[in-house]
Order: sequence, then C-alpha cells, then structure tokens
Amino acid sequence: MGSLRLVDISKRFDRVEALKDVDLEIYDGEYAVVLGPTGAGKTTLLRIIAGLLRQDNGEVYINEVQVDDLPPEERGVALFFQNFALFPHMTVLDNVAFSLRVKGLSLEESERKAMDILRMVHLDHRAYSYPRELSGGMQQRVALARTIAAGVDILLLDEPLSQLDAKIKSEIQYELRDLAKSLGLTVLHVTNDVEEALAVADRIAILNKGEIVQVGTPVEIMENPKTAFVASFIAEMNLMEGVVEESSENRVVVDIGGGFKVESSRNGFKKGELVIVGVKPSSFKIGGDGKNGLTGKVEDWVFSFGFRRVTVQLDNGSRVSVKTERKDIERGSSISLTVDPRDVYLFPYLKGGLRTVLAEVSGVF
Amino acid sequence: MVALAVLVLLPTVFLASFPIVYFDEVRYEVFENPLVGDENLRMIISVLLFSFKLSISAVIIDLVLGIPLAFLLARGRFPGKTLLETLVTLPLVIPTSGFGFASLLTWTTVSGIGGWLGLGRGILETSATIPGTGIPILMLIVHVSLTLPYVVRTLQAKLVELNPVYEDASRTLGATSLTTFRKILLPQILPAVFSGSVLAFARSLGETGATMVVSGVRITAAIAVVRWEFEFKLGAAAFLGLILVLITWLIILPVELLLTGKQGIIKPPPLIYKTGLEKVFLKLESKLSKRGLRNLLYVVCIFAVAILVVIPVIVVGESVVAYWYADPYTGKREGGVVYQLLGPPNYLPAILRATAISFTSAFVSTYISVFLSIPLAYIIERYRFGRVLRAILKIPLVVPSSALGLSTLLMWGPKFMGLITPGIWLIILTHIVFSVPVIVETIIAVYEGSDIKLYEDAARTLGANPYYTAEKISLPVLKEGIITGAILSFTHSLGETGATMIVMGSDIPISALVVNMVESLAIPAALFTSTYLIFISMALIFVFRLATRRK
Repeated sequence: MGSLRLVDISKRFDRVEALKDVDLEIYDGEYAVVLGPTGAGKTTLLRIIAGLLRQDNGEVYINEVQVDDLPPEERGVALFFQNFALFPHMTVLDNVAFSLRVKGLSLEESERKAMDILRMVHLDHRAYSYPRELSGGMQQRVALARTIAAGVDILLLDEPLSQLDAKIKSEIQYELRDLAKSLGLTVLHVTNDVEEALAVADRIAILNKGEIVQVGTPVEIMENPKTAFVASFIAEMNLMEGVVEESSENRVVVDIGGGFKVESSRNGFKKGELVIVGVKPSSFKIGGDGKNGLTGKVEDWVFSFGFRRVTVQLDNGSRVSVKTERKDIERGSSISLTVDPRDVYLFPYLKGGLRTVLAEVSGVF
Repeated sequence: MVALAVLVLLPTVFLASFPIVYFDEVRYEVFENPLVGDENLRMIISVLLFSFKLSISAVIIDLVLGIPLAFLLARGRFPGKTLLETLVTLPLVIPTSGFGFASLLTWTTVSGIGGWLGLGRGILETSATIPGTGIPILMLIVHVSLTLPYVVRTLQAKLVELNPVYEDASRTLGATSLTTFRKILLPQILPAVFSGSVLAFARSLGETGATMVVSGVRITAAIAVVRWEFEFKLGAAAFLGLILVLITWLIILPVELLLTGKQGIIKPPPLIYKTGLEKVFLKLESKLSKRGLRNLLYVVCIFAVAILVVIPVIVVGESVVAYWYADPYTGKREGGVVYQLLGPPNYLPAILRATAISFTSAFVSTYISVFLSIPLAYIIERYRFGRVLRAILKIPLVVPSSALGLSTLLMWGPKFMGLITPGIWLIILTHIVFSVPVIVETIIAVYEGSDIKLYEDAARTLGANPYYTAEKISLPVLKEGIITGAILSFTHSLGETGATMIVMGSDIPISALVVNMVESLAIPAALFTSTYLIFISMALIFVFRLATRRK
C-alpha cells in the first residue's frame, strides 16, 4: 500500500513563495510525475513530503495517515536525490545495505538482500567498488537500488535522470518505470524534461511558480492544455496575442494583427476580449489554400529526426515555428501557411501578456 | 625563502642544538647535579606527566562540548548564531593572561560566581582538584576555554564543507539523527576531529599566560620552562623545552601529513556487528534521537560557553568598577584601582609604557609577517613540497610558546649569535615566528575557497602580465584572508605571554605585566590591566568585523 495526499501545502523562503496551496493525490501503485520548469518548487515539494523541510501550511497524508509531525526516518517514503548523494565512505554494497542495517538486520542478512537488489539493477559485479569509481549511469542505478532497498512503498525521485546523457536517459527511463511497476511501488517523480515526463507518467501534474496548474494523463494534457503556459511548455505551441472579433457557438474569429484573422472552432470567449492563440508546430500546412491563410518569410530552418523545424517570420511581425517533412524550404523565400480551425487553441489572456508566459516556460521570472 | 628559513624555521629547531652543544651544562643541571642529584630530572618527568594528564582531559571535554557546538554552528539557522560563533572564538584573540585572571576571579573569589550565589567566598579553591585524578579544576576550566575554539573551528569548517545531502539521504533511508551522525558524519569528519584535537592538545601543552595566573602550586611543563629560565637554569629549561618541541613534532607531523591527504575518510571496522553492539547502539540512538533531547544538549553546550567565556569577562569588568576607588570589602583606599594606578604604587606609567611596547611590537611583527606570508602561501599552493612546508609551518602554532621563546632567545641572544639582547626587538622577532603561520593559514583558506587560479589564468589570457595580474586580480581576491590573518596575528601578538616573558628583558609588554601584577599581588591593578587588555582586543575584533563585513 502506498498512497499519498497533499492538502493545501504552502511554503515561503524569505521573499520567494516556493509553493502555493498545492493539492495533489497520488494513488497506490501509480507512477506520477510533477513536471515544471527550473525553480517551480519541485524539489521543495519532495523535501516536504520526505520530512526534510517543514511546510508553512497544509498537511501531508501517507496512506491516509497525517505524517507532519513524524521525522523523515519514520515516514515510510524514500527519496532519490538529484545528485545521488551516495555515501562516499561506503562501498556500493554498504550504500545499498544502509537502510537495512539501520533497521537492525545483521551484517550477513543485509548483505544478502542488498546483493539481490544490486542484481536487479545489474550492478552486482561492482558491489565492492566505491561510488567515485563508477560512471554516472552506474551511480544512478546504485542510488536507485539504495532507494528501493529502503523497502518502502513510496519512492520520491528528484530528477532521477537529469545527470545522465541523452542516449542512456531514454533507455533508463523505461527501465525505471518497468522496475517500479513490477515491484508495485507508488512513485512520485519530478522533472523539468517534458519528453521524460510523457514517456514514464501515468499522470502528470504541471507545477508552475509553486502552483499546480493542471493534472491529467499525458494525452489529456497534450490534447487539452488548460493555460497558455501548459500549451507552450508541454506541446511547444506557437503563441500569438489577439482580439476576438466574432464569437458564436462553434466559431471564434481572432484578429492577430497585420490584417491576419484566425478562425478557431473553440468557444467561450466574448467579442472584444484579449486572448492568446496557440497552434502546434505540426498543425501548420505549407502552401495549402484552406482556411486561416497566413503569409511570411522563411527565416531559418534546422534539421531534426526526419523533419525540419522552420522558423517563419509572419507578415504581421510575429514569429512561428513550423514542423514539416518537406525538403524544398529555402531561407529567405516567401511562404504561405494554413491551419485547420480545429487545431487553433484559445487561452485566456494573462496580465503581462505573452512575454510573461514565455519567461515562465524558460524558468526566468 | 631565506628570510623564511632564518626568521621562522630556524628558531623553531634551534632549541635542539642547545642540549647538544652545551651537553655538559645540561648533564650538570639535569642528571648529575652535585647538590640535588637528579632531582631536576624527576621534576621534569613529573611536570610532563602532569601536563599530559591536564591536556588530555581538556581535549576530552573539548570534544564533548565541541562536536555539538560545531554541528549547531555549521548546520543550525538561528538568531544569535554569529554571536555564539564570536563567543566561542573569543579566547583565541583575548590575551591569555588577562583571561586567566578573569577566570581566577570568577571561580575562586567572592567577586565571581560564588559572590553571585551569595556564598561569601569563591565556589572553588585554586588548589581544588578533581577527586582521584589530581587535576586542578580551575586549570582544567581555563584550558578547556582556551582550547575549545580549535576543536570547534576545525570541525565547523569541515562540516560546512560537507554536503548536508548525505545526512538527508540517511534520514530518508530510515536512520535516526544519532545513527546518521555515527554512520555518515563521523567517518567523514574523523580527520577533522583528530586534527582539531591535536591542535587543542598542543595548545594546552604549551599554554603559559593564563596557566601562570591560575596555577597555584602545580606547575605545567610550559610554565616550568619559563620559571627555570628566570632562575637561569638554562640547561634544564632547554632540555624540557626540547622534549616539549619533540613531542609536538611527533604528534603533529604524522597527523598533518596523513590526514590532510586526498580522501580524508576513515572507514569504521565491522567489528561492532560481530559483537552485537550494533543493535544496542541502534536502539539507544533511536531512544535518544528525540528533538527535545537534542535541543537540551545544545542548550547545555551554549550554557557551558557562557560560563567559560562570557562570565569571566563580565566578572572582571564588574570588579574594576567595584574596586575603582577602594577595596569594597576592607574599604581601604590602598586597595582601589585609582590608588594603585596613580598613588604610590604608580602603575600607570608602567601600563602606558607596556601598551606602547605591546602595540609597537604587535604592529611591526604583523607588518613584516604579512610580507613574508603572501609569497609563502603561493609557494605552498603552487609547489609539490608545499604540503610539507605547510605542516612544518604549523609547528610554531602549536609548539609551547615558552619553548619557542627560549629557542629564539638562544639563537639570537648572547649565547649564540649575540646579535640581539632581550628587549623589544627580540619580542618582534619571536612574534614573527608565530605570526607568519597564522597569516599563511588564513590566506591559504581563502585561496582554496576561491577559484583564484582560474581568475589568474583568465587575466593572463586576456593580456595581463604576471605583475599586473598579481596586483589587480590575486591580491584583491586574497585581501580578506590577508586582513583576517593580520588581525589574528596582531591580537595574538598583543596577548602572547609565554614566549614574550622569556625574550622581553626589561621591555615588559602589557600581557606580561598582568602576570607580574598577579604575582606581586597588585590585584586591583591587575584587574584594571586585564579589563583594559580584553576590551582593547574586543574593540579590535569589532573594528575588524566591521571592516571585513561583506555586502
């Protein structure tokens, strides 16, 4: 059994509000990811759950028992540290056996169990090495083995893959999920990497500036981002500011300046209202003659796996990113784009406008 | 390098030559004295044993108090932390003879704690000992206060350097706070525990100023050196001094060379599992790891610091006020501060002259030492043999200062070179010997804490020549270390007693004056001078804190 419930958690550091009324529930056996840019409060949240930091407000329930007054060692959660925190004065085996030994297991028994877990992460052959003698990937696995050895049902993983290089990372992220699932563990994994979150999560909670802005499965969040921030951060949508010109049941027309008008089949906005328009890079069609025609110049393009990412300077001055498989794109050439009204997302306008949203996404605020 | 060898290194080892060159004299005095036989030798052995007993006990108490204090200072976040830190370090910079006198008042007289409790006498006799051990309580108290800073500072520095993430990891893996301390912290800080203890031990072994004031009948080895020198028993003094230097060398060098190595981690033996002790420990630790108990321990340690350091300073200040016009108990004006300073005993001119001597020698020796230290710090950091040099440089810090004084006296004085007779110049030369290591250490601390090599490389690639780089990059970066070192050396120089008394001749500086006053029972004058000395030092620290405060 391992369920976790956070109620109204708030935490301030001097002038910075690190967490604001965070409510979150994680079910038994679930692999949940808290995703947010650098500085969103992810580590703070984990430290509060683990009991290393005391929240100013709110309660933490583990298996429906309030644990706020329990010291870390009595909470029954194990925290995986971002930089692994492997004890430098102990061998790999001693590191893994640590939690067993502090529970009073004998030397032999703790060693046997630690060995079993090391075998699970394929590191039994390095049991007598010291952490500093291992590569980053190996250290990561030792740290994971040590966390699992604690024998608790809830793992808190603080950016467990951030120290690994891209290639290993994509392999290990699936292994990590499989391992957790096969052991029946409840996992709360925090990261700032969108791809990683989408790959491993049963459910994702998006954290921005200490607030949870959306919770849902990866598909739900990709398809239905609730705010411009989520749209840009997760789906990498192109965002443009505009004013609603017409609004009816299934049709909203937004003036995005420079004579361009974009039609969307989403509603809920009134005429004259400021909105933010979002379009995924893959939703643009090049050279079509459908609705929502936009024109501009190709500024630059870069090559990526199997497609090109083209930066287009629209004639109204804004800049959009377009994903295409076409190979006949030349820098400086004129280009026309269309987009299906069903792929045009509309988000409420925020104070400070687009600039604020983009700054939040890159973690600069 | 030559200046270093002549001014700093040679004096520390010169002592060794004396018993060899003048072996007859040593043999005559120590082993085969026609009058008293080997009485002096037995005397030497007995003071050495006594000194050891005292110093080891002091170190044990230092560790008991020092480990929690260091942890509190390194990890805690609480109001008054800087104050606590300053208080713990205070004994490093206040003159020891003044501090010893303040402790004497606090513990053994009605002006101190005894009077506050309404006993009508001191709560301790000067000669009171811990039953069964023969260690004088007062001496032990003074030695603990004076050596505690070494343990706390060394451990604190190490703890600050250790990433607290290991402690967090251990806690979330199910270890209680005490288990975490034993299994995670202790193995990593053990080298610091050793080097702090060694420093404290050596300091206690060599302490002279305060010990002379509180010693009563029992004398330590360091004091014996000073006494015998005054009695012109140079042979015996040199012999004992040499033994002291050798002992400190034997303890310091291996510890320095072994423990300042790369890893600095000591692995505990698996023995405790075999004996089943581990389970007992775990159980005990989980019982004791309550937050309330931990806070209680902190409070006790802070309280101890208050009693050891703060109260003596308050008592001595209060007594000066009480004794200002007359002895408050007999009402005699002869017992008042004013009478002793301005009346027939006329101590005021002596105090003024002593102040001038103290400040001049402290200033000149610090000034010269700074210029010697900066290149030295560079040599130590840049070259391979630097580590050995650094270990050797630690010796003047821990060698009993009276032995060091004797060594400089023998080297420069009439017995050997005959260049300089005891007096202010010899004081300056002696103070340089222990000022250079202090300044070098503080510069190195800043050097290693910054990426100065990187900045220098950057400056060079940006087109600056070495001289310009040193002037515009290196020195400004190291400024803080240089200033800290200079202030430490200046206050140390003001307060130094052991070596100074041996080399001062008739130029009596203020720290030695306090000892003289206590010995000639001019208590009110001693009171005034101690207070004066303590407050000058505290004012200096305050100015220094203001000057180096970072914005």
